[in-house]
Amino acid sequence: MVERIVAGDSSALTAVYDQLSPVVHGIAVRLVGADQAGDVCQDVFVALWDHPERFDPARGSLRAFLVTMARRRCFDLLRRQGRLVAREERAQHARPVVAPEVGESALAMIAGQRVRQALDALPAEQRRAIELAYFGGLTYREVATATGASEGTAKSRIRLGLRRLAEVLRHHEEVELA
Amino acid sequence: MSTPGGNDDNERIDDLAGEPGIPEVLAALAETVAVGPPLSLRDQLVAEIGRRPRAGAAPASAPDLYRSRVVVMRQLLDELRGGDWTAVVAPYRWTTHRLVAHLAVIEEYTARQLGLTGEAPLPPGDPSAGDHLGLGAAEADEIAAGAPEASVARWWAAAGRVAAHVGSAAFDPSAPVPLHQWPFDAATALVARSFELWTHGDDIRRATGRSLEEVPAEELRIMSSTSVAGLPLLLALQPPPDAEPPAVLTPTRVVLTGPGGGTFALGGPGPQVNLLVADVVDYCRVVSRRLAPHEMASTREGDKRLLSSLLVAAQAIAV
Repeated sequence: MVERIVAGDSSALTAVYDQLSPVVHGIAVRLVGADQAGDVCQDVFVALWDHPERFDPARGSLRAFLVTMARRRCFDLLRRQGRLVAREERAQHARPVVAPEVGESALAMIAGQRVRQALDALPAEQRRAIELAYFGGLTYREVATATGASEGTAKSRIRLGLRRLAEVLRHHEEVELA
Repeated sequence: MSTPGGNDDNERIDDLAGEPGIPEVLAALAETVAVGPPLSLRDQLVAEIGRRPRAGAAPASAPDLYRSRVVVMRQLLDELRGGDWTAVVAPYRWTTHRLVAHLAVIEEYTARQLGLTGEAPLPPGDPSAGDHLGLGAAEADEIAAGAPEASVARWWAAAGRVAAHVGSAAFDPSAPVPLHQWPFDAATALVARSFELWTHGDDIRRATGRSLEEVPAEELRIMSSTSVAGLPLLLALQPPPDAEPPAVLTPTRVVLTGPGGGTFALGGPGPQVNLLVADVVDYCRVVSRRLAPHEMASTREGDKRLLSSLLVAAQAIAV
């Protein structure tokens, strides 16, 4: 599909948008709020249109590429605006919602549920650290403060939790392939 | 930015994205908060990318033209259903499916000539590639024996690869890229390929009862101007018919009318003693052998034998 975007096929871009905009938009809603999430979402897909060659499939999926770009743009936006969102406020947004959203495809819902289950299966301190860091956008230092741990411990919990999630998700994929 | 020691105040979970498997986990986490954007955002995106200069909008170069032609062909092939694939395509008496198989083989050959396959490009006039329609015929027959979707995928794999390459910084438009017997440079080779994609696209449209494509003016301009610029050389290479003396190119004005047309001077300086005026689309259809030179509505003044010879010569690279 990206090859088609490289070739200038706008229908390929809209197909990618239809498939992946919910994850891009959803994470932007979490980090910058609903009012600005649309701008971030549009920026991400326009950037893909302008520079599709920046996506390297050898380094990961298109979904990962777009989500990474969305998160960077969110942090850039917050930094540019000097908007200081209180740590507590961001921490409140840190817990993923379970209710499916309108427009979320069935496949995305299944994928989302699977990740939620994997997240819930983590040790509580790892799960909380990841939620704060990922959904709340907190730095390691802020996660440490919010959880009363040292920065090194917070970082270690996040890293261990992510590795565990990677194992669980990989296992799911292997089972599906088998 | 992250630091190895982890002492950066702004270090975040995203800084772990360099570790194997972590980017996919971070993306998977986003699935848990997926929420579709407002419907209006999709329309805004479509409008925004429509304003941005990309292939298909207003190609300014041969690579843009080629990529646009590939996209148009892909969109056409995606439309085809059931009986469309067995429709017989003039003038070859191939089915649509066999024509796509031919395109797959030719696009793979083009990729080779551009140095994208690891195989050495074949030199101009190499016997194994001299005949455009015969090139890889057995392989094309084999491809056409499979499912149409597989043939489209195979064509797309080659065409998409070429399209990606010609849009990259690695592409050199002046590099020699021989196609069949012609010692083209890369840009001219792409224009020749674009002519074929346009022509075969319309072949398929005719065979399946679809309207012919209205090619954007900028694309016509690139194709027609490249063709006209090559006329003196093609005329010189053209064997004269029936042992007549070869036509001698004297100063000639070629006027192609309509969007994408232009006025061209051939035959060196001096008063232009010959004049050819024709519609640019008709001229391009003559070039691609979908219209005979004598069937083309035109104004011809001066050396009419020369003008006819020029049109015949223009067809030399047709497919």
